[in-house]
Amino acid sequence: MTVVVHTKQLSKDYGRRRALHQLDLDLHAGEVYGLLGPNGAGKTTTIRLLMDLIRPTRGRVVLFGEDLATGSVQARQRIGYVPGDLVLYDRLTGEEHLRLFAGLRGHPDLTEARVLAKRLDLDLGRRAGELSKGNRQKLGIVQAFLHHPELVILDEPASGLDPVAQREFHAHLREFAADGGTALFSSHVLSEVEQVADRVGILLSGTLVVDARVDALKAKALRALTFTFAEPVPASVFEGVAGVREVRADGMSVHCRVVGPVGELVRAAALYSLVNVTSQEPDLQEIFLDYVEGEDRGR
Amino acid sequence: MAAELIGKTLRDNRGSALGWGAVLVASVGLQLAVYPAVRNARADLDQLLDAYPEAFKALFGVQGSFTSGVGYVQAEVFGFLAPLVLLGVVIGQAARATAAEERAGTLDLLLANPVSRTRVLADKALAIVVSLLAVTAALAAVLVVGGRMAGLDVPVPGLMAACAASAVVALPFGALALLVGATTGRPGWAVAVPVGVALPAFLLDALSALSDDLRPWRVLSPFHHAGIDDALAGHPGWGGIAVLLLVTAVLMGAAIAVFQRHDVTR
Repeated sequence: MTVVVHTKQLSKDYGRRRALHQLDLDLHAGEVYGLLGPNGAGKTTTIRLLMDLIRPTRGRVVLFGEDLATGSVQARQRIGYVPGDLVLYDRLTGEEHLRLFAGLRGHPDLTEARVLAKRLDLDLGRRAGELSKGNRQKLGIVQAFLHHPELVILDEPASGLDPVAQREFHAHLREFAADGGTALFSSHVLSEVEQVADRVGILLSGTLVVDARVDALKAKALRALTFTFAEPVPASVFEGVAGVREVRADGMSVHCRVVGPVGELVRAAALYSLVNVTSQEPDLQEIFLDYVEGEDRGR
Repeated sequence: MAAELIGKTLRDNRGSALGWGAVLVASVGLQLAVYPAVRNARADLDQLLDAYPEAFKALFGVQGSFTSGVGYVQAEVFGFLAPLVLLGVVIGQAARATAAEERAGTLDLLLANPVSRTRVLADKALAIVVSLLAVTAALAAVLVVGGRMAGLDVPVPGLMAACAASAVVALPFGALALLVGATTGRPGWAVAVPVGVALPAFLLDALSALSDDLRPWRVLSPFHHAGIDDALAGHPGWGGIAVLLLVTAVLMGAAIAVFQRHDVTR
């Protein structure tokens, strides 16, 4: 498989602060990679290094087999980019933005861009300054795909999009990958990564602590389950059941945190007069921490 | 050369060029309109000016006879107004070139395109030069046309040469603004530093006519090398112009080198 993005020991320091520490990453053609992490974890730093907007303190970036240090212009010909905190030219309309970038890219054909704009329900005739945050974000996405890129690098691309536009954008991203396109996007929304990405990386304090297939990560994630019974049930019933990490009884309810398949736990609960079950996906921060703790225990 | 980028920069700078150009044309037009009255009061005015302190006259470029055409234009247009307005055009636009785009956040999208940073800076610089030429051409036009109407007896080649020299002296300051903008990414600094250099340099050149102590130092002032007064009198100083162009090229080279390594921040 063709390696589209390759980073080796990629590091960026700002003074004494390590924004990114020794990132080794390989992305293959046709792959959608979701980069997760809390604010300040190094997602945007990684993306800006890949876009050659900032320069590494150590390590290197190779895109399409070419080292960025020896010239990034050719690489950028093949890349589409949506910056985080996207800022457009307020006085230019959507159409004028597309024409400007199409001109700079030597790709005057705006047919694909118009199709995507229509799909996202974006009016290209209005000035960027008059657009809502969501519509500006749509324009950011459309311009990133206007020249039929082979790789798209997207910093929180879905932020501000309404649910319909988000769904269309995700579908577009999947179709792009199905056609052989490669995508790297950052997000702090787990469900987005689950839906769209093939692989996920989790950055914590500048270090890539997880680089795994999404299904593998999901299987390892801690889920919170709450059982409500018709009578009090002691917590000890669930302790020792496969996958259960934490149990707390609270009146008629029992709260469990569980990793992996929940079948055995549910069977154990079904032996009592079960009234209700609720399952809650843990928030991302919890997954990070649980995952990292789990990794530590595993060692 | 990226035509789109030059075109966009020109459109972005249109307001600046039109605004500064209008101010300059209106001011010079007004000054030329009162010239006939000044000339008629020649004897009284010359007497009055003789009584002024030399420092005052040097500062405002009053040399020789204020009421002759050359003396009047020297004092009223080229002594102060024209060079500083042209400086304003260039420094303002140069500060916006990369620093303001970086501050606003639009530089991210621009640099995501397959254009080198050298190309971006060079194209923006080219657009600034075009703006400068347009404002200078407007100045030259009002001087030639208005001068003829007001009976200003200054040969056209001298006027043209003085306009050109006033434009050339703005170039190193524009390149300095690009350099500071590329280094800091702060439009405020990109204005403050060149202005902070230009004002003392202007005073140094103006006052060096009076002070033997200052005179050796005037080679540090771009305004000295521009030789605007000599150009107006029909003796353009090509050597000085070459010095200014060389300084501009060096600063521009430094700006490109710095911009290449610059981390684009937000």
